[in-house]
Amino acid sequence: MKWLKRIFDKSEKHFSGSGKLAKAHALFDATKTVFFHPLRRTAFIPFLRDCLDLKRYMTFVLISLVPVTIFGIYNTGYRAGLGSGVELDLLDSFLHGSYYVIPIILVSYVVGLFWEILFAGIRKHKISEGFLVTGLLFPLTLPATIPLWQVALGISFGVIIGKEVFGGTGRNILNPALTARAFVYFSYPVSMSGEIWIPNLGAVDGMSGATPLAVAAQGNQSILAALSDMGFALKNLFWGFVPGSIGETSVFCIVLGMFFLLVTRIANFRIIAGGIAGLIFTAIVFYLFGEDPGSWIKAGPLYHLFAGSFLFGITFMATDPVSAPGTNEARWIFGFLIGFFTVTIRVANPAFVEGTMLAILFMNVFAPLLDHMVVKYKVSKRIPNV
Amino acid sequence: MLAEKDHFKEILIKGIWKENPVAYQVLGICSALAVTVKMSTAIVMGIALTIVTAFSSLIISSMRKHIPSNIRIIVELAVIASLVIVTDQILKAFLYDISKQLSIFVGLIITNCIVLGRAESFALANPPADSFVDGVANGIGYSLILVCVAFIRELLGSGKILGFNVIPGFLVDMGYQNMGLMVLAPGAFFIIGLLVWLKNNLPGVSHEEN
Amino acid sequence: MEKVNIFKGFKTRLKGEPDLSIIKLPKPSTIAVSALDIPFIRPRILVKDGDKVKIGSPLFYDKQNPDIQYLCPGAGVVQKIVFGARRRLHEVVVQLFEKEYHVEFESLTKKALGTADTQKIIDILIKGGLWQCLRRLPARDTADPKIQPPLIIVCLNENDMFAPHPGLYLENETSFFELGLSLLRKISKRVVVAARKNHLEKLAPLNTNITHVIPDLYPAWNPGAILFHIKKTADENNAWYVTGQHLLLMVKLILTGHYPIERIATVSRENDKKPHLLIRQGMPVKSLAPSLGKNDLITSGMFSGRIIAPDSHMGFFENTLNILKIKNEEEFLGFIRPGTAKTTVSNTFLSCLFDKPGQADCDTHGEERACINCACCHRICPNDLMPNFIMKALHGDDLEDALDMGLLDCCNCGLCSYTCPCKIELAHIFQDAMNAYHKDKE
Ligand code: SF4
Ligand code: SF4
Repeated sequence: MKWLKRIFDKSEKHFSGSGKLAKAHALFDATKTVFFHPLRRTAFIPFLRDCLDLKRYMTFVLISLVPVTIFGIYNTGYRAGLGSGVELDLLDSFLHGSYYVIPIILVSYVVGLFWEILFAGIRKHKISEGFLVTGLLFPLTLPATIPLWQVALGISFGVIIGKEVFGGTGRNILNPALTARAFVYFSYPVSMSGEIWIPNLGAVDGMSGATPLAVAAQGNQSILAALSDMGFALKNLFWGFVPGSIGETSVFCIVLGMFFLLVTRIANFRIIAGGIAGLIFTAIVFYLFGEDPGSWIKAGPLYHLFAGSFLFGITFMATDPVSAPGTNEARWIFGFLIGFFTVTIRVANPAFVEGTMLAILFMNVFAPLLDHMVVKYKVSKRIPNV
Repeated sequence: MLAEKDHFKEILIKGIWKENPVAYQVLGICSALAVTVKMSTAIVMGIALTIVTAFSSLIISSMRKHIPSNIRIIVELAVIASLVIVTDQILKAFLYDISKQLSIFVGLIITNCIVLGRAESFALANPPADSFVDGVANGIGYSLILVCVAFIRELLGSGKILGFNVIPGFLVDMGYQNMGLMVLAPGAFFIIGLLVWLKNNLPGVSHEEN
Repeated sequence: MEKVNIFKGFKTRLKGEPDLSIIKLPKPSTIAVSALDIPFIRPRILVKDGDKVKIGSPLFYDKQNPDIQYLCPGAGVVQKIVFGARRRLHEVVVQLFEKEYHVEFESLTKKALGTADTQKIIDILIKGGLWQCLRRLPARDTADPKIQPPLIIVCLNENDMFAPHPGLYLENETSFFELGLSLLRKISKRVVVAARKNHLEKLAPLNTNITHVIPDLYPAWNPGAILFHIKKTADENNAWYVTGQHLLLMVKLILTGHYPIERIATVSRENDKKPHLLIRQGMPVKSLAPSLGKNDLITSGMFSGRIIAPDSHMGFFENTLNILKIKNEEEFLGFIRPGTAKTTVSNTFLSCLFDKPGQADCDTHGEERACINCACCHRICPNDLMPNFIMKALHGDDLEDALDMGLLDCCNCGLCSYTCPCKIELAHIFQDAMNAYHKDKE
């Protein structure tokens, strides 16, 4: 790898000081540090440091997203095939899916990176690795049919309003990827819920809802029967062979990623456990006391857990450390309330079937408050020392 | 005479730009959110508010030596309220459609913080002519932001400017969609926020040195 | 023996632990007294170049407290007085004579020591230049002889992981140590002796004197950490502490009337297994660590010491040297390698699966970023502080808030900075803030 190093060393002068490309120094620096981790001696205590840095931290989130992304590509291709009436095999589905999904991811990265570099240049700081995650998370929450210009607008909004106005990664209070999604969701509702290819399963013709969450039973049918009629049996939801946003469908792949994040302790288990507990608890309460058998009130905890983007959200979005609370007790509450609000929004307001996004954003706003309360409580327990 | 002119100019610039009521003093945000979905309502609202602020400042300033300070708010409100009612009636008489869209917001000019704010902070301490100019300046400053916001919201949210479709057909065919967020109240928040950010931070535009 | 429950700390093992043999180093040509390792000192120098000094002659004193003198640990001529930036005293170097003479201080017999009154002992210690071995928490300034402390902690281990093993310097010195404890009991009603769990076996003769057992986990033996876990009320915050070696020196001074100059020290380097060294106070660094690489960083404690220049001398409080290396080659795509040989407390490298001792190097392993609120620092802080919140409070100039959250409970172990993935200098920020606060209060 000596030659690569030499190229970097040689071109460094153009990018620094009075070089021609000095404005793009942030970009140069980011590229260089990806390949060669810079050596710097410690100057203060402690004189040795852990090998984990933010690059690796964020890269591990990306790794955990690999199964979801791959399955998302496959599923998109497969759905697209079904939509046009052919059943594609594995490779074809994959190629077909790439045709839809790869451009979305590319646009998200390129446009987002443009803003990152712009702000890094103006503010004279380094490009933060947090963007790597945002740039991939955002596309995974979108339906594959979304127009690319909306992706570009969405990620711009997410990066600027969700992050840079606060001062960049580490200072934002909202999760940028979710902010971007919320923007697209409210701005272009048609693209977000509309024409996802829906398989014609014979039993129900002319279905309007795209995702399982939009299903409502007709007549005296129970919600569970309606769901399985439409191909949303628990088994399908678990493996992910259902329509939906690119990354959210397969519970199995999400759990793989979740497992990876938990084992490496990148994600905090308290948020995830709290979230699942909150969801199950709330779903059971609604199940026991709800009336309407044909709506999601009666769907029960497992369906609530597997359908829609709850697991995706709680695993990859809610655990974003910047927008989540930093104290352990607050994390339990944070997670629990996300679960609670997810079900409540789903059940109480059929207009926003996707409650997870709103629940997480809502709790993001409250995270500093939760932290503040926990810190105050802990301070009151301390033996004072002034 | 020349000094007089400069003096007025200064008040104007201060009210319209430097200490813009929405962007700098952060007053009148509520109506700025409510009436900026369309440009026509924003313009009418801007004019109405300019007139009310200008004349209320003028009247209050000319009475300033005679108002006992412990009942001044009541007096100010009486003046403002009468002006607002007159404006409202004129609108109802000549611009009925728009006045319906503005609904209670014209009536609510009474409570608009800009009017009372200028009366309290400027008119009570300055001669009538200055106060009148100050009222006009603040009214224009408010209208300026309102029209900007409304322009952006109408253009992006419904693809129109002053009610005329401006998005070319081929763009729509290619898949252009209106930005639903802009029609909702949060859209106005974002736009105002971004405008304030731009005004205060853009080098060359901003008057604040940092 | 009471167990102190400290669960959080540095659980990874590191390479380079010294073994338990002792070798005596030959007499050096120069020795020095450094002012750099003495917290808060404002020195006034008492000698000049060319002066002749004996073992025990005062070299400089502290302007804030003129009684506290720093004595010369060798007899010879003052060779040079080294100043740093803004004429800050670095060290006073003395060229040693072949034959050395002592300044005679007042001495007591063992029996007299038992019955002597407290003030007398304090006077001897102050004159003999060893009172400053007693330090006061939380700022670690010199203890005030006019005050009776709520408790004195005797730390058998010094700041570093590889600091001298107490079993070695206490071997055959049990009676001295016990005398030392009785001396401390005259000063304070409560004396706590804390020993590492793994050292108990070697310390068997002393077991009856040990009051607290601490887990074998850096920085459990840090006096700040011990105090945090045993204190019950707020007035214990100002406890004093003294290290085991210093306590022995104090006893020897009183019994012999001579300023004691010998210490046991360690040198650790990643792949060596070095023995313990019997040295004199203020030996040149080069004589302890002869072969140094160009890029090596020498510290007196990997986590909480200071950087020592290679051509300077050991300090009064320092008995450990760590030699930390840095690689010359930048690693290609380092952030994504599996990392079977990386030292980490996280679970993101394969090395966390094996219980192999890790390498210590002085690379920062990354660049500084804004805090991402991951709370890794809280997860490792032995005193259960929330470094990220304290740092943010200090950042916003809110000292009150930081103090409420326990800034002064920070024992400066450095683990929070060690683990932070954003490479924020938390411990340094806290140290600065604590020092500034202390100076303000004075
Ligand atoms: S370890 Fe570093 S990045 Fe994480 S919370 Fe603490 S200070 Fe912030
Ligand atoms: S705050 Fe940092 S330096 Fe202080 S005790 Fe905790 S881990 Fe150690």
